[in-house]
Amino acid sequence: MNAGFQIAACARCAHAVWPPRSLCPVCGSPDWTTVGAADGVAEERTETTAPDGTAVCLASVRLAAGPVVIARVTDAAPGDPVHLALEAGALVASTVPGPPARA
Amino acid sequence: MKALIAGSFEAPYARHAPVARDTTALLAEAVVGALADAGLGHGDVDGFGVASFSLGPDRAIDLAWRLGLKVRWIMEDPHGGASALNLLQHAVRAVEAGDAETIVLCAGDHLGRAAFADLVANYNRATAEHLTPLGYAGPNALFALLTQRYCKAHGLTREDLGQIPVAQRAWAARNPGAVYRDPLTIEEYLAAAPVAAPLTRYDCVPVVAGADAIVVTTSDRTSGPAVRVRALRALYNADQQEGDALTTGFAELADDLWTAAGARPEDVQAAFLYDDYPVMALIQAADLGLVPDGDLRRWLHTTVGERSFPLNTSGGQLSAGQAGAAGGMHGLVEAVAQLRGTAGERQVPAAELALVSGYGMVLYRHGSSHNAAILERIA
Repeated sequence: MNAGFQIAACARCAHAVWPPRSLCPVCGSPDWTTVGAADGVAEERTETTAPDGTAVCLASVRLAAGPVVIARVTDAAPGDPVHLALEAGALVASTVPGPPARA
Repeated sequence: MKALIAGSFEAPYARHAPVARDTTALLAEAVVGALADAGLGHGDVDGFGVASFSLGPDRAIDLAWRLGLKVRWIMEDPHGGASALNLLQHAVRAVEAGDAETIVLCAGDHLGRAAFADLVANYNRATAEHLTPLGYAGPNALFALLTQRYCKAHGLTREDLGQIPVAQRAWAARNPGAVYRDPLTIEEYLAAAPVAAPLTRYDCVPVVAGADAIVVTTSDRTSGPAVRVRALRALYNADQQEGDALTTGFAELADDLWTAAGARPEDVQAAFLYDDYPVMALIQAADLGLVPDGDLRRWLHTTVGERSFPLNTSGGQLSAGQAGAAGGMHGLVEAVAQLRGTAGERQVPAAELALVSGYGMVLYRHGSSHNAAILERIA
């Protein structure tokens, strides 16, 4: 598992969520722990214009931990394994160098 | 006492409205128009509901005061595209329970460029904290991702989805209130530059200033044809933002809706589906049972493209415009006009039963709020 981006997981039933929530949507528990969520696969991407006028690519990324998140991408295409990290509050998905299987 | 919708009105939508035609002025215009359409007076109103993103710092009570209304029932709904049917659900119950006799429901917005940008960036906490930092400029990007996902899952192309905006533009030509009325060809649609691929400007609602209103009252106060809510069902947080949105809360509520209405999808003469994006109108049609054989391509090209079935006869939000929170009431107002026989050049003959839907409140990846009603003409 990669270090880095983590998300909340229910302390009772282990259901992982992003964005964070108050009660677990599955079991209603208020207790949370964290789980590593740095690995995922890009599913769809689109290029659009940010409010400052610059081009930005956004993608749906299915995390190995469960949730599908919206992240900024650069080179990742649909189907690519990606590594996720928070950069200045923005979730960024980068392609994983080399073959997808890693130790 | 049965509750009926006795009248409706749309304060004309405008792309670049004068500042003086602010949210309050637009809502006032819609309220006055709906009461006139219902043949009722200002003094008859004893209930009031509103949906707007730009009313603040005023709330429903402040607006009611500005409108000179003394009421026994009041409600404000912040749920955007789902607000109108939510207000209607409660208003019908209130009138039938005797809490009020005549309720005016209105929705509208006049958002300037800065106010619109602020609304989009701070739509809710999930957006402000997790989308805006990405360089997010509004839901076009999210619905671009959903459109790709849906088209891939069903083998659909842009030419298939384009049937919806092209057909709605043909309806808009007959609606003097629509902001875009010039014919749109599928060739023009396909040649447009992407806003967020595969979406182009023809897939995104034009932001307008405007307002809508309806009047719900007791059956003994109506004059002329009125509209009864045969059934209304809602589902919020259907998938907790955890699903793929290829099917939605509409699929979950559909059976109950049709059973409660004592009707089937083939019984309605027109549908008014929440069309913030073409793919959403399509998903709602599929989930609510309007495509019984599941052949989405055929439905798009024949039923919609050849306009053999009236869908969003105002031109929908895609051609008429989206006036903020009024987007949720636009289809309802058009449905009421069609069922009461006041839709002018675009009147659907013998419109007795109609389907209306509301959808919206993008929480993180897609809409969270789904509601739909079967409306019936009462002569």
